[in-house]
Amino acid sequence: MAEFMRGATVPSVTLDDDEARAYASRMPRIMRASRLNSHYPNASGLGGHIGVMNPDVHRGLHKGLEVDERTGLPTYKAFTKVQSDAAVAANQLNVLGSREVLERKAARDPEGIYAKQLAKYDYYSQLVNADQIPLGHMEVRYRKRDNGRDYFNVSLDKLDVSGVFVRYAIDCSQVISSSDQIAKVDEREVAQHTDSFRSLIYQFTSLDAEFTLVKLASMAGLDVERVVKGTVGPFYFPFTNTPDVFAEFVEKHGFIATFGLDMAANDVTDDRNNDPLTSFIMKTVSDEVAEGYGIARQRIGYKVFKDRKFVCARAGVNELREIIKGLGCNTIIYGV
Amino acid sequence: MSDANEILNRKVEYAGEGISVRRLEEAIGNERQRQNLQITHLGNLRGRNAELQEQLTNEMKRLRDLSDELQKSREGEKSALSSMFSWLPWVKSESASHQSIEELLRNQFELSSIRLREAADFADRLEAAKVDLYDEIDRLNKRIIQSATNEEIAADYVTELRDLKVQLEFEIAQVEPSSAKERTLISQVDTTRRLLAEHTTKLKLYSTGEERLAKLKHNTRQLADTIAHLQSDITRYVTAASEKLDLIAGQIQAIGAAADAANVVLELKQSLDAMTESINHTTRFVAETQVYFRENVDTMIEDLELYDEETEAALSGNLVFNEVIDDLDVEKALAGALAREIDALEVPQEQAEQEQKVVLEFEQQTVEQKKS
Repeated sequence: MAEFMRGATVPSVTLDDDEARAYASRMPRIMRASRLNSHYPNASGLGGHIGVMNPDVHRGLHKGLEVDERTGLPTYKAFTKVQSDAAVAANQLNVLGSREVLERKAARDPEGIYAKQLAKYDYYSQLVNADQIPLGHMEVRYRKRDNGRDYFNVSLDKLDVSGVFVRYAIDCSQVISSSDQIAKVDEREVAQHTDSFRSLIYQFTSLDAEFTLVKLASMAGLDVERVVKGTVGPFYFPFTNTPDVFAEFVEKHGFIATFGLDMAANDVTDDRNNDPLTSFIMKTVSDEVAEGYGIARQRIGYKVFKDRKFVCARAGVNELREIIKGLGCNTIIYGV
Repeated sequence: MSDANEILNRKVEYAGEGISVRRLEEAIGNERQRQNLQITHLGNLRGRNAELQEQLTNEMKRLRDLSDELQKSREGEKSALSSMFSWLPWVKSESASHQSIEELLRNQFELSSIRLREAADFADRLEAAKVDLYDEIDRLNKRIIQSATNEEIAADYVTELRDLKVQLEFEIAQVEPSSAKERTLISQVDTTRRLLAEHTTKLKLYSTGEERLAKLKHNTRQLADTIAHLQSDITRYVTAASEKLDLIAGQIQAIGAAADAANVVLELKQSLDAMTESINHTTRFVAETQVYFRENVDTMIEDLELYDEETEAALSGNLVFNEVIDDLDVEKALAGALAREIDALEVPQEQAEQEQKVVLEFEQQTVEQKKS
């Protein structure tokens, strides 16, 4: 991870059309099978976003599909491409005009520009109705005003630099009179986050929930009840950088999809780590930081819970369960 | 005499629909309407081009300023980096001094990607417009060939009729006046005159139509060539910009949250420089095409408007011509066709003049005989 940060490229593999077709049609099924709750990024949005990367949908308008070798998810570039197409789709459909006219002209030259315009028309038509996921979106919902404090629920969805999709959910409250406010509430009781708060959270997405809770708790006038970080990924395929312990399984069964949950909260009864990937994908906390966390836990009184659920081929569920047990965890595994 | 009957009763087959002054007027009017639509389309494309130019110029300036300030910051100089965030569209407060550089880069990249997508779609629209115009040229060519073929058919028939008229007038001079034979011959001359008037008009109309369609084709070709130039340029620049943005996407994701740390500011600077370059590519194309449009299309549109008036004048002239058409037009209409036939047969000019002279002398003789 540290070495990657010093570099300037993302390790990626480009899937050809057949591979992309198989990948993009499998991903929405995996996302549906994962049964993600509201602590995770929007599953149908992510499935829809990746689904339109299928060459059958974009009709060959994009060449290849770039996938992050670390996470098995499309790269930022691939996600942005679809986002840009979606942004122009409605307007382009107006510009392209009638499908019947395009179809008639395309029939005269199946390799010509009108065949491309027709393909674009059909692609954009599907795109305007497809679920999408924002690559960076923050929302602050106002919960209540009580005893001189405003209570908020903050969520940030983001394609993280580590290549996984993250949803940060924070339940917190601030003193109404505080000068360092995270959000402002208007007369309609609609909350709007401040730019500085958004930037603060935006930069924390690669870090764990505990760090964010401690950092926010240090801000004057702010009380943090809970920080939950739900992640989609990494997914392991034969073409990704797969930890050795899963490599044979992936070769045999095709893939493993993982969905992490990292929660630091006042109402968690016991510290528990049920995430078998912690040692593979998380940064190792230095002794100094670990000591700082210990002090913070005592002072603020929160506990940390980490979990991860899995999706794999139905035939491999029991086999994967045994592997995970071997790593000292007992997690939910869905078959698809 | 059976020859005369055969010529007079022959059904002359012209290609395509029949022709009349009204039909020619309508056909040319329709062609003009098509061309006007293409010009309107081109005008819209030009408008879109101007919008793209303005947007990309603004983005380029932001990137360049940001890149400069980052460089100052890296070199330990006082920079206006924090205050600069306030003019970015997605920053609502001037006090946002801790703006995430990663977020800033992403927002800029995503905006640039949309602009690039729009530019690529614009290039495809130009290509489609170009294909339409080339199809139009093919269609006009077919009509021009049809008109030319019909002109030849009309010219051949008019030549036959003219010769027949001369022959019949000669025979009238030979028969007894007021005899049944003379009456029959006079009747045939009258039919010949009527057919001559009818087919001479067609000869004129097909000739006029052919010329007018050829002028329309010339203008259409100019439009197509202009669009082909633009389409070629935009595709080249979009491709270059796209390659640069592809590179930047990887860099942004790689730099990520660490972008705020001092040890990666250099990479950030390079990323911004690369991004500026990509935007430069696109902006340069827009600027160049804008100049191209200004220099060429306005003039072309003016020319086309002028041509429109010429077309109307020609059509008005045809209406007048139609009202006063008489036998003399036969010679006039044939003169052009004959001259072309002579050229085609490589008949010596002197011989051709002699043939024409003989006819005229014979006509003169016939008139004198009638007088006597």
